[in-house]
Amino acid sequence: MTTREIEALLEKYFEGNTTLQEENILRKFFRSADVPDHLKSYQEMFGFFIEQRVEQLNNPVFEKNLSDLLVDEPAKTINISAISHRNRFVYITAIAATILLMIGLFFTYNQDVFKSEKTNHLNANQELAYAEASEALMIVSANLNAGLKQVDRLQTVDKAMKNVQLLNRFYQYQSIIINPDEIQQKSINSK
Amino acid sequence: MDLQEYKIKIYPLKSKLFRFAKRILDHTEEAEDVVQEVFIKLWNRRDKLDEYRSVEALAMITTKNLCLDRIKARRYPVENMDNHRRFIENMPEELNADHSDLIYGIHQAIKLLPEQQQMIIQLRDIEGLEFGEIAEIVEMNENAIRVALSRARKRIRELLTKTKAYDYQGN
Repeated sequence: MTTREIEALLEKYFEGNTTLQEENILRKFFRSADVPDHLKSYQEMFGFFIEQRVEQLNNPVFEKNLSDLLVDEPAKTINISAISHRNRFVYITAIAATILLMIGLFFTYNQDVFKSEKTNHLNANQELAYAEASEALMIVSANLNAGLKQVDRLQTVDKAMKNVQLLNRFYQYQSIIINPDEIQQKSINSK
Repeated sequence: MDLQEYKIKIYPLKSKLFRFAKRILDHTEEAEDVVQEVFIKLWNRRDKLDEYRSVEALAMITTKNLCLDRIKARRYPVENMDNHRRFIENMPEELNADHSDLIYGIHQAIKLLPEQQQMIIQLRDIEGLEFGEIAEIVEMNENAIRVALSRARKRIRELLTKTKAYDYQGN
């Protein structure tokens, strides 16, 4: 192929009038090493097209998904919308979360809506009773704590009392030592 | 068509469908999703596949339609650089930075074309299909395809000559 012929083919190419065979001739020409300078930029273009055709779909996840989906059972069709798509999954999750949140909020703030008047009335009493009971228990609990502190003090009194008892005994023994008769008489009287 | 036959006839189309979807969507993961969807759709019609003259054309048309649906459903334009990134990563070592800029430029130039022209460039210049096959897939007549193809090619050439002119100025 002369440069002239190539130039003519290129012209035809840019008009969209080349056949596949002619396009192959161009591809081969531009793949060769000796391309004249003024045609060098076309080399990039044809090189680009060749490179683009090489790309393969080589994704093990893709293969696995597909072999999981395609099962050889007669008359079984696969529902495409049932397959989790990246985008669809996100949308569905978002919608589901929103609905759940709304339901949750509704029940939290409108608990009485689903109850009848009667139970409502009962409930009001129950709530009142509960409130009063808990208030009373709170007071009791607070006072109990305060009281327990007093009880703590009582224990020191206990200790002191033991000392006092010791003193008492001391006096008893002392009186025995000093006035044994009197004590004996007293013990006889008490019997 | 049973699974065995399906695997032999349809599975080998996956990369071609993937490249086509990726050209339109410019997004690797979305293109994979589309191919999976196409495979499922064809599998669901497995009893009728033999009635089609070309299962490959059917697969390509399905791919095109799913891709266009997805583009319509997009609320924001997808700015995706993964084509460019992958190219730089897979670049043979003897090529210099100018080359990667140019490849990126061609990518961008194609991306800026109308969808129909993008598809036609993909099917003709990259996949090497006959005009008849392309006509079936993009649902246009052959003449309209030639016109669109010519416009697309010229747009790419424009970019290349601009880049080159800039290059020579630089030197």
